[in-house]
Amino acid sequence: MYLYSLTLQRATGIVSAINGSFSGGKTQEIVVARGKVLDLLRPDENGKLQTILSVEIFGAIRSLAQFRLTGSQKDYIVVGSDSGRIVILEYNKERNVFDKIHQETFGKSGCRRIVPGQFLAIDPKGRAVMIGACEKQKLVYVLNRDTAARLTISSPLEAHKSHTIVYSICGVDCGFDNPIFAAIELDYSEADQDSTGQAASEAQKHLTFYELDLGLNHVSRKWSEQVDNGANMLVTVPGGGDGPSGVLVCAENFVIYKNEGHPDVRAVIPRRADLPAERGVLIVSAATHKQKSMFFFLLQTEYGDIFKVTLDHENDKVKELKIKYFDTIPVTASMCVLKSGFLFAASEFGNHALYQFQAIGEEADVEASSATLMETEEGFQPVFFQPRGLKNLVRIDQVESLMPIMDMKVANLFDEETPQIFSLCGRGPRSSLRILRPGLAISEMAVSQLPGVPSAVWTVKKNVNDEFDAYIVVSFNNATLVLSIGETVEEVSDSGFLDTTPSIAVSLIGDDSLMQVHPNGIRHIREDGRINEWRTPGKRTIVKVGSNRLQVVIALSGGELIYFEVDVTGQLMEVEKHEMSGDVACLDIAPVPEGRQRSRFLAVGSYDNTIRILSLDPDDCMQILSVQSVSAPPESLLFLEVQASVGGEDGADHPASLFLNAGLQSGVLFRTMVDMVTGQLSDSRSRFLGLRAPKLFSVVVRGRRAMLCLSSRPWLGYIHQGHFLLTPLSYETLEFAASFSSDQCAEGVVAVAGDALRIFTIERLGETFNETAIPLRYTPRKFVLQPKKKLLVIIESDQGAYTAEEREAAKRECFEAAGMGENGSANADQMENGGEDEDKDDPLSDEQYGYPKTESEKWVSCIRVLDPRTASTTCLLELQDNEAAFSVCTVNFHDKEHGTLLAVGTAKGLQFWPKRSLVAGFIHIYKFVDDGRTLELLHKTQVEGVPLALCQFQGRLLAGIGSVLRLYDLGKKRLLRKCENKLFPNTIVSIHTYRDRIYVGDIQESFHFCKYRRDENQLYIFADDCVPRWLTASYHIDFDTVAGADKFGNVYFVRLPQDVSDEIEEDPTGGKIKWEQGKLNGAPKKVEEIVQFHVGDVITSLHKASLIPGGGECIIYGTVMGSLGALLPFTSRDDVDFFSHLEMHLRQDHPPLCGRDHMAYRSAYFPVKDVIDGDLCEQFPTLPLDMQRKIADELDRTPGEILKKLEEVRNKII
Amino acid sequence: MSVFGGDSWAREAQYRKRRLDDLAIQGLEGSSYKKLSSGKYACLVCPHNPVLDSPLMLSMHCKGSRHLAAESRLKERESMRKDEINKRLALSDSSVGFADYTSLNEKVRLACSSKPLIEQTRKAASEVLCNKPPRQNSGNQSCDVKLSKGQVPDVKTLSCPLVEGSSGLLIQHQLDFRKHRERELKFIEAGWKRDCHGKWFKDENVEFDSDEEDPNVCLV
Repeated sequence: MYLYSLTLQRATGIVSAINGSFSGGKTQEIVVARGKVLDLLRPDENGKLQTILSVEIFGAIRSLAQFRLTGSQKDYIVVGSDSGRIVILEYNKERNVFDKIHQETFGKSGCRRIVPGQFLAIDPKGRAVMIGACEKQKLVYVLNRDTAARLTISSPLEAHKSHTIVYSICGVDCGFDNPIFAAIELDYSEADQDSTGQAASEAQKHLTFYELDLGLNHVSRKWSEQVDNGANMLVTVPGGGDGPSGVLVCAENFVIYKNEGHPDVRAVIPRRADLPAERGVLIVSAATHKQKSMFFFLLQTEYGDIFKVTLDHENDKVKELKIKYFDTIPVTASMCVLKSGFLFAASEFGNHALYQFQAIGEEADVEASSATLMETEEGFQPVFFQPRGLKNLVRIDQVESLMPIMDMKVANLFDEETPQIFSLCGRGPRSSLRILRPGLAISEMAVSQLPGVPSAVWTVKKNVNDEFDAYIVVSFNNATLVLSIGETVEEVSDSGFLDTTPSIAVSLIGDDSLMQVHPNGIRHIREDGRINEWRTPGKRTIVKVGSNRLQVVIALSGGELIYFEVDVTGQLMEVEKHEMSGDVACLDIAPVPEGRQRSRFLAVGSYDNTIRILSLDPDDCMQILSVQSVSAPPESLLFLEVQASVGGEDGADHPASLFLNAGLQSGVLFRTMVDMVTGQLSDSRSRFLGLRAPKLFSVVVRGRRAMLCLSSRPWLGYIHQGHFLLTPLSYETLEFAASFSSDQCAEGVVAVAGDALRIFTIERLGETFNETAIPLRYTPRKFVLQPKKKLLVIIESDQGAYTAEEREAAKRECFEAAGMGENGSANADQMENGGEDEDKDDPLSDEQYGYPKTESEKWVSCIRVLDPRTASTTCLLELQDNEAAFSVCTVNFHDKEHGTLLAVGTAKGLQFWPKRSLVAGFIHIYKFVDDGRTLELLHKTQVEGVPLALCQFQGRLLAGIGSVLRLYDLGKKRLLRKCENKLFPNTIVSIHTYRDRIYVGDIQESFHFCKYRRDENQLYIFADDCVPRWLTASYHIDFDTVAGADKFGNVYFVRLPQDVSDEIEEDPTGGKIKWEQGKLNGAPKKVEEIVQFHVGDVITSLHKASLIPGGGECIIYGTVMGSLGALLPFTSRDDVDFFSHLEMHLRQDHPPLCGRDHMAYRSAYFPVKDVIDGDLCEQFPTLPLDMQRKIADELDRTPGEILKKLEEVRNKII
Repeated sequence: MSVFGGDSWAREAQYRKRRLDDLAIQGLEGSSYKKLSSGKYACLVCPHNPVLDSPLMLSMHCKGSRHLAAESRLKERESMRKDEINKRLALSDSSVGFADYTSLNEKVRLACSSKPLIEQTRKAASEVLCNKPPRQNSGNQSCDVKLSKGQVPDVKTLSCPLVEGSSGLLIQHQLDFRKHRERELKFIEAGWKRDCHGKWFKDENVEFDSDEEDPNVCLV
């Protein structure tokens, strides 16, 4: 089996973010690392974050930093990754790519403890960079400029110290003195030697300054001093005239200012009033804002509260450190303060946000200061505050993030054309169920009812140079309605259009005159109001029209074509007539090429299943240039011109080309390339779009021509990063559409459907899915689908949180104290419906502020039945008594009267630290009542471990409880243990069954194949895997095959060899299975690994599905970082050969950006086997043209054919 | 210059050699040797699989006494295995009751000819089981449907009246046996075991409902 791996949705979570001006000048940009993807984001003028560039680097990004050489206007990006190399990137604005400036190798690849890459620190003046490992190694590179002002990098200088763990490093701003780096270090050499553990308990963290002597070209330890053992982060304090220099050490409960030769200035971090006393407060992210006259820091705690830290200093002497409560936003992984007054918060989990500063916290608020720090015998006196609504920040944009995807299933519960992906995302109060549908999201601007059922709509400008459209013209069966576009859209009658007849086409012709084509003639409205009317000869009517700005061709009934041109005076002149053999089905004229008088090509579709290209040149007018036969009569034709591009916004090189698109009556879109000189057709592609013949319209998206295809659902064809993408829009069926541009909406579409006129815009181009989110109460763990009743059952649980009742009580108390009684009562209802409609007015929404924390041994959990169609919770059972749900399945017990039951595995009082322990485990059995909308507890059975896996098997329930696989039958008062097998190595985390086979996944040792023998009432393990795999997800593929994913980011398939399978199935006496012994306690047979691939992201769920109607089934996976991908099995050997060669060439000619070898990356833990990396193949169009041609030559193809192939295989998946 | 003369001696010599090889091999059975990728030949009959350089040597080896002895041993073993298979198939068929009925039934029909031992019995049984009941009356439809689904008819749902005649008795007997076996299996599944006297007892590792049926009582 060969698979094609393709990422459908790139990772949405962010691990690190930096800001700066990467394209130079004043623009503020953000570079974010999403695990293996590097993105460049830019807030546009409307405050929306736009993704400018997104590059898959085939490696794990561990740290990011930016620096600027003195006097330069542009920031460079330093990337610390798992490649064992330091990479310096520059953003190339012209080609819209990251250019690799330097790549220096220093160690082995992979994320190892002593190979640098985990920490990066920059000298604030951009003279040096330090790259550190978690342990021992730190390297310093000197950055400089050569004579041509190019960036140079020195060979590395070592600042290693063995037996030392590093917690954080940062540069120290000391002006133009020798660069200094600070690090929080812990020396464990003594603790390592001392077996009594005394030294370990006395181990002390130190703050160490390393000085880079630029004269001697040498790094030395300059200064080292003890810091709190809770210290976890360093923040650079401006120096060199701008401030006092030194560092802020963020420690548990404290922020301490430290500098060499300066006494510590310490202030306590204010605590939330409701925080349990034993919990500390840690800073998790920091951002610095620096202006000429002032600077401040924003520090965020692990609970989401942001504090503004200011230093009161006189020259280099810090007198006071103040920590003032600023605002509360969800916990971030990184915060970036942009000079343009924005705060970008890259959330740890859940959606990221862009905030605008309303104020900078000048107003009075809770403040802790070093001056008022009080030390008592119990320690320092804490300062308390109560979180409040946003005061200094206002959220202006949100970027969706699925991170982490906890569970995912694909099903068509809404009876739509394509299935929906149901994914459980997020954590704690920010968790949600997200329903993903393939397609682009649209935002509807206006819907208005029309007096009749319109048949067509057009928009026209008054002058070719106008920016916005002047009229919307709507045609009905027997009339035409003209609407003028201004502040409002209103009907006008002075436009010159004939309104007593239906229209066939309306457009701008020449520079400034309008044309209306109606069945009996052409009405030409000149700019000064003169009207010329051309009438059809005899009783013939116009049936079809094709036009561009200077040419018009009409088809009369009977098949006669008449060709008009606009002459120099702006008159429409008849040029040529041509008789076709039969009626014309559709027409289109190619757009007039830049700097030309006319376009050369006319496409005519006929009912005899052909499309002809006719010449419009004066010397061979109406000559047939080429003929293309198609599978069904064409319904609509559209020429789409693709401008030549060298890099630029879409980041790809391609020559100018002309495509002819045809919508066939069979619902197929046929797309072929037109030779711009000869008119020959080549390179045809077709794709089924829907049950209706697609109607094609030209629209503008992002300033480029794109194609809107209206079939049973609308589709958009556009070019994105060098790929032609044809994506469905998540919108209803439309009849007719036209592009629309006005003041309020620069790039919109106006369409008619039914009796309504709709104006909408298309959003977030390039994305594959659009989502609908339904909030949940706690971290979702797993869910089951009830396809017949179209309901979802979700289990949610959280550790260290209060139950909803306790929270409500506390909240009410707090509100009462603050005199906000009414709000408290409103919240009571909210609690009842499961907190799913997070009230926007709620001043303390949990989504924003997080749940109040409690002791870590306290669990809260609930079981929810959710109707996804109405997004309503029909039943929510909160588990009591410190119990938490871990597994769920539906089960039909044989010969019992209850029908489908729900089994939920729970644990009571589960603790992971200091030792994993629990009070008891339970399996609850619930009955569905009220048509499956409500649950009723039947009984609960105590078990000795956590039931992490449940599955139905032959009318009974299989449960994995710790290392025991047990078969239960339903009893009157409890479940009855019928059979068990205790021979599993660690903990069972997944169970799948098929016929009498059971596929058991162990947490640490991959899959075990088992068989249940009825006549002996025994479970036998007959095969297992020889590779220890830490399973995170599994899926049953066929009788002998299962797919799994491990926690190191690999996905793999194992298969039982055919002969072994046969042997197991044909064992009439059963002696063999019973007595055969494996070696070293293993099973007698071994499964074979048939597929192996390193995805580079922990896969949490696998599912088999086909995302397009009639498409092949593929394995869809969801990952912790919030990405979705697919593995599609190849059906032909030729494709495998082609793609493996393409992959090979790309590996050679286009090595990954951050220096990781592609092959080594995909084989990071186990050698890659039989999987083609589609993400690498899809980078083909981003290569320079000559490189594309070179690779294509070696594959005996043209670049176009390769693109077509890539498009084809993508279309098979989505 | 070679004694064969001319420029083409090599090709001719090659041809002669090949012809000789063909002749040498012709007499041998295809499955008794294997041509290796190195061009050598391995004898598959002799237990230690000797590798021989050329077809000529192979043909000589095949005439050797050791090879002949090995060959006869092999033949003997083959025939023994066939007998054993037939015997086992016959045995397994007699215990039809446990397993999926239809599939076995089909197998039986397909493999009839190869199992002469029990052919007659089986023929009778399958005739009785598959063909007769529908012909006899239409009142026992339910029984038929159940059979074809590969399930065992339950006593209670079996509405067919007892059929007169020997064949009727035979069906009844068969059905009773299978029903019985199925109920036994149900009890085994539920965790009952049998002691050496055939008495049923509860497996101590298995849990039972309070009102569970006792096979000692209901299987009498």
